[in-house]
Amino acid sequence: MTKGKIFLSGGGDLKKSFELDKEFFFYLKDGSKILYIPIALKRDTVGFEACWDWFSSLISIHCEGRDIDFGMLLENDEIPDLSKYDAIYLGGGNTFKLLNFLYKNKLAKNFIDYLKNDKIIYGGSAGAVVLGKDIRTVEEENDFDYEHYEGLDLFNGKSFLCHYEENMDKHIFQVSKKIKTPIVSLKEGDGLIFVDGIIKKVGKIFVFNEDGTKILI
Amino acid sequence: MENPPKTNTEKEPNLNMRAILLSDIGLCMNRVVDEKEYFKLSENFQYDYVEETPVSFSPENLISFFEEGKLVPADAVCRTAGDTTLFTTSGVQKLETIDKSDRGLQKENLVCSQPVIRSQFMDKIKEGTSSSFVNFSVELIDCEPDDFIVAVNKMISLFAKFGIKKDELEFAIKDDSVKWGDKKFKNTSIKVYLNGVEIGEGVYIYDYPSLNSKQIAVTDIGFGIERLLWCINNNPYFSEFADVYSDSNEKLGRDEIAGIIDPIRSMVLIAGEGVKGSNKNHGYRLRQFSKRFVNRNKVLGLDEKEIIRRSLDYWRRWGYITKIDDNEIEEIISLENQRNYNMLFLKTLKDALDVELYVEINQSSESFLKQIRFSLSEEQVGAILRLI
Repeated sequence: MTKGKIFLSGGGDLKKSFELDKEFFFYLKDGSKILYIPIALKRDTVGFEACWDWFSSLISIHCEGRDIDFGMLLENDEIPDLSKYDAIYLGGGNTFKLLNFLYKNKLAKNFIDYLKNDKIIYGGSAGAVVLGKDIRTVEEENDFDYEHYEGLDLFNGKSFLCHYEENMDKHIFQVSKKIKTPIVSLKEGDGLIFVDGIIKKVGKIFVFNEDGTKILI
Repeated sequence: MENPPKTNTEKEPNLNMRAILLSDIGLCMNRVVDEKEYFKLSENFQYDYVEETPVSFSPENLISFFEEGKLVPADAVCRTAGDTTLFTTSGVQKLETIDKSDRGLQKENLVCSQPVIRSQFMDKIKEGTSSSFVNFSVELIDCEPDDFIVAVNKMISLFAKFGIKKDELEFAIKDDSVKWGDKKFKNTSIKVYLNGVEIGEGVYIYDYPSLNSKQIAVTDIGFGIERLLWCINNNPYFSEFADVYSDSNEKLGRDEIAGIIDPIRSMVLIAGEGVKGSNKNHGYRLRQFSKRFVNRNKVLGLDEKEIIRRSLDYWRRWGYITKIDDNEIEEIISLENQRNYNMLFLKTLKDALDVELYVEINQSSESFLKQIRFSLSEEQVGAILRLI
């Protein structure tokens, strides 16, 4: 397990992910700054402005009376000095697009160093999947012949799948066998929190193993 | 359940607009960079270049150029609940405003000089890029593909009229699926570049989903006034601050100076509509801009009142209408800047001297510093003030 604080969200809207988001913002002190990375989304200028609005409302909901600021990183931007940010928020969308952006900009390794400095990474949906071992849990999203599928592997060889529903079990077992990793499945609104080696669950989290077992953690 | 029949205003999204643009405008391949194709105007394109430098165009002469469009007032910068974005980001958002009105969207041609805010650029300010600018836009509602071609040709002839040489222009065409909140539609866009800098765009929307369930074709022509003038004249980007640039160029570069002016220009647009700093909605954005101004103005200490006054003059020249008077605007901005200055003082105190104090920040900096002096020595206060 990597050092630092990591939040993994199964996805869903502001209401669904409220509990997990509340925990994330609990760790942010007054005056903190977050780097929001909505790269996984495909949007035009108006669409990315709406992303800025969305993230502002997320902060407003959870930070009454606290001053939290944020900046946004988009596809052709210069990569900022990560040490100026107290947390990184990886948003949802196309997992392959996000992972390839991270590799192209050498951010994958930087994130590991970033966590070592006791910082926070939040992965929502696609943002959570890229932090696992293999992102082919959502292979159907590779609509552009993206090259990379090996995630940042921050959790001892486990891969992740978000927006989980029980009728997906058969498919998840097949994928687990194919990619040869256990798959942690997160329902919308559910999530996992890793704080300095201690794991906390929000909701019911299942691990699907290659041997066909499904374990509640 | 059967799909509803198409209305006569629906256009086929698979219409090959790319091919039409290439042939009807007369574009030919210029180069390919990172798999992206750039086109140039063909030799037989009728380009009526007018040598006119420096250019100073006004709202009036731009509007008269697009004379067939009806001039409409700009939308408010702070948009109402239910719109795609909190702030007006582009002139094409006029569609949402009209669609929500009693009249609804109907066939018409509109021209508008729209002040816009693009928050995504607030940390990327440099010459040529700002978080607010005038988006001059032409909207042809319920139009035909031919209308789009005519409008794009008109935009190109405008560039010729303003002294841009034919061989300095490049074009890129893109087909896209767009999502604005819960609205989805398809478009084809043609971007125009002057020496590599984007100066204008024409967009043909095939199927804008109106509130009455009709899908409407729309032509949107738009360009940022500040960037276009900057590209043509090679003046400072915020030309109304030319003296500030020349007075400060030994301490800071043009990009840094633009970074100080920019947040106040955007704050003027927000405060001008009566919005005060807060942790929610439009007020939160005002706060974000203010923090950037306070942080960036450490070296030069530019007079915020002067930037406010010049920004107001500028926006008004392009049709911006404030909802409160100038003194109130100045007071909103000043109070917010003082709040964030106080906050910066406390943060710097913690970082530099490892001293944590709890002092109310929502007060004037003068009162704040009086309170601070109860807990800190004059030497400590001086040390922090020198840092911020």
